[in-house]
Amino acid sequence: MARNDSGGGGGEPDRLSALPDCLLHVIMSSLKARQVVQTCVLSKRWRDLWRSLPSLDVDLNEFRTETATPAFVQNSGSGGGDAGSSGEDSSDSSDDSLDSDDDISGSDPESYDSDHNASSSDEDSSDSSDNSSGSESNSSDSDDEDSSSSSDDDRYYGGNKDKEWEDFEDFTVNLMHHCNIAQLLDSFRLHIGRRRAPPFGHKQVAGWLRRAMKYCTPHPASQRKGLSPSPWRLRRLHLCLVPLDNRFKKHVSSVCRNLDDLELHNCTCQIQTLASDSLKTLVLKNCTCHDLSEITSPTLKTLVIDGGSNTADCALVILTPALAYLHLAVSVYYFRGGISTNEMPSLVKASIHIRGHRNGTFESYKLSGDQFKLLCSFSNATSLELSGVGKKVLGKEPTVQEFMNLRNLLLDNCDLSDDFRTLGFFLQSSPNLEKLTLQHCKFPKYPEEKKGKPKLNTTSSSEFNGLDFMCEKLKVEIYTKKNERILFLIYKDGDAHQLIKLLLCASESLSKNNIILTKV
Amino acid sequence: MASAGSGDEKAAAAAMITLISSDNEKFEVTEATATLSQTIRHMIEDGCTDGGVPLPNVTSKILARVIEYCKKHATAAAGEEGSSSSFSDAAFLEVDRAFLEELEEFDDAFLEVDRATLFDLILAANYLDIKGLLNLTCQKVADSVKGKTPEQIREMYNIVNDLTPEEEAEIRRETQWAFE
Repeated sequence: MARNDSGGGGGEPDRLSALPDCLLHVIMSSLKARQVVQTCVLSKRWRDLWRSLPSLDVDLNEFRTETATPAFVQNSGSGGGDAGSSGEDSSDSSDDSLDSDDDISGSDPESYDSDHNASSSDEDSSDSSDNSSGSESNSSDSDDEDSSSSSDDDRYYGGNKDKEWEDFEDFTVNLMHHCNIAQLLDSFRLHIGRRRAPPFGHKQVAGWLRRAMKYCTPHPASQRKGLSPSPWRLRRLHLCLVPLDNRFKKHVSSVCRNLDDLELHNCTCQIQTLASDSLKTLVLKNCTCHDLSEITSPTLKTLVIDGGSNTADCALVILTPALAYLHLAVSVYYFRGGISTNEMPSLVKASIHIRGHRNGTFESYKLSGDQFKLLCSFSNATSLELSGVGKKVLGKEPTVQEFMNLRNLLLDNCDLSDDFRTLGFFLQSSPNLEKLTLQHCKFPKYPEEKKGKPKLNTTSSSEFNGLDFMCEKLKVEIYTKKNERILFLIYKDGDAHQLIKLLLCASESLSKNNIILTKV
Repeated sequence: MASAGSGDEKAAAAAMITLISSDNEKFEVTEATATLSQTIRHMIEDGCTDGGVPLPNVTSKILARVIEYCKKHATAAAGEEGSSSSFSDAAFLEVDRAFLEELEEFDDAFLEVDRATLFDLILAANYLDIKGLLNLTCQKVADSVKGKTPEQIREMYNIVNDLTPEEEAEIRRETQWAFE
């Protein structure tokens, strides 16, 4: 310590090296793999620390030969202390948000703003080593994946792709060789840039991974005797832009038997059925699936399908009876075959975002027709977020479905112009509803009478009056667009009045006090 | 303020826990706040918190900060107690986003400390087994070295390079694939 004091510039002792291995591992787990390995030259203390790291994050972005781009010259040079680090930080925070809870709950604004994201991604992707967030926002809307954004990277990026890939390849292959992947690794993240990999590069990466799973088993001897390979310790696998096929799936299910968290971002999946007895969390973000027809897991608790596509006409069946959290954000076009689910008795929160229903043609797609059925499997949820659900949700027949546990309902971007039949349906079938939030919904247009009372056409008004509002605790709060920060009920002016008047005149049991109208 | 230890009031004070820092300062906190620490949670479960919980590894200055963190996060922790804070657990939290934002702002402000305090907080979070605080503080250190060369990291944290030039050259040769 005394030596450290005299040696260090600021006279501070080396508190970092003094931390126990397990804590240094926690810190190193947040760094990308190459930097982690490079810490081996820091001092004797650090020499072998990387070899026992339980978590690896291998990212092609770390191998960029050029750290800066014309637009951000000040970041250039690895020695550019603060400027370089701030660019790095921002890229990493957006990167991390993929894993965080906020990303899931807050992904709706992102998806609606995807156009905005795509246009701002020029800045993102030209920032040093920030490709991950750039590609992330580009691909949040699968529309512009192929065309417009593909040029961004190339236009601004002047690095040597061949050298990068070579370094990346050498590094990854050596790393897999030097690390005890099978017995030590707890979490593995593999991220390849979309456009900087050579042709077939993505397949190559999938090959490394597959071979690692095939041959890096703790007890190859037992395998030789014809026994099944001993499982990896791996619990968390996070792949980005890695193409996956049935062979991969086979290895995962035979080797990664302890896997409980699988995240696939922008992967091409040629996998027909995804079955697991260990998974607790499955995230498919912007994945292009070919004939994915079934997701089966008795253990799965969290399922996120965000963006991406499935082969036309292939229906995806989700059989996950233990599911507690479901997030579905899909476009009716890209999941033309529809999605259906079985009963989910343990479901706590479901968040369903159907995109593309506004363009009129949606009626022909399966997902539009399936909405009510889908809804029925969520009948135990305490919290429901429905976005982009149209009039179609109820169908033409009178329907009965109880949402006994529903406390929190959010309708976003929904078409309620069916004389509030949809809204009425939810109010009627949710006796324990505590909070209803309406965002950007389409309301029916009623000509106003002189008294200011809305005029309803006879059938619907009697129907609506006849609804028995069982939910006495219901609280409707209204905020105008300016107050968006609160994110609870956002409206265009005018519509808000109408709804309140409607609710007021439609139901006696909804006492005035329970309706909070806040206008900015 | 009545001290939690006074016999008659035991029942009434059951939900309060007294934490004693290494320099013998007493902190009275609610059980909900204290149980953010798995270490203390286990002590409570084992019924050995009567007369206060001595924490010989934590100074009063650091303990005060840790309690500040726990108080703020205790309200949000109802849903994720006992389990790892993976996103799936947090996703169930029925808390307003506004509150989550507030929590984030709190965390950012909380991390505005000098380096010595940061390391003390890391060690305290580890000792008390407060996962959220440990991740938060370790992330701060990780962010500070992200993208830095080994030389820069040495300089930043006063790491003395005790490798001989020969040793360092050998290590670099062994791990050449990570330096190209």
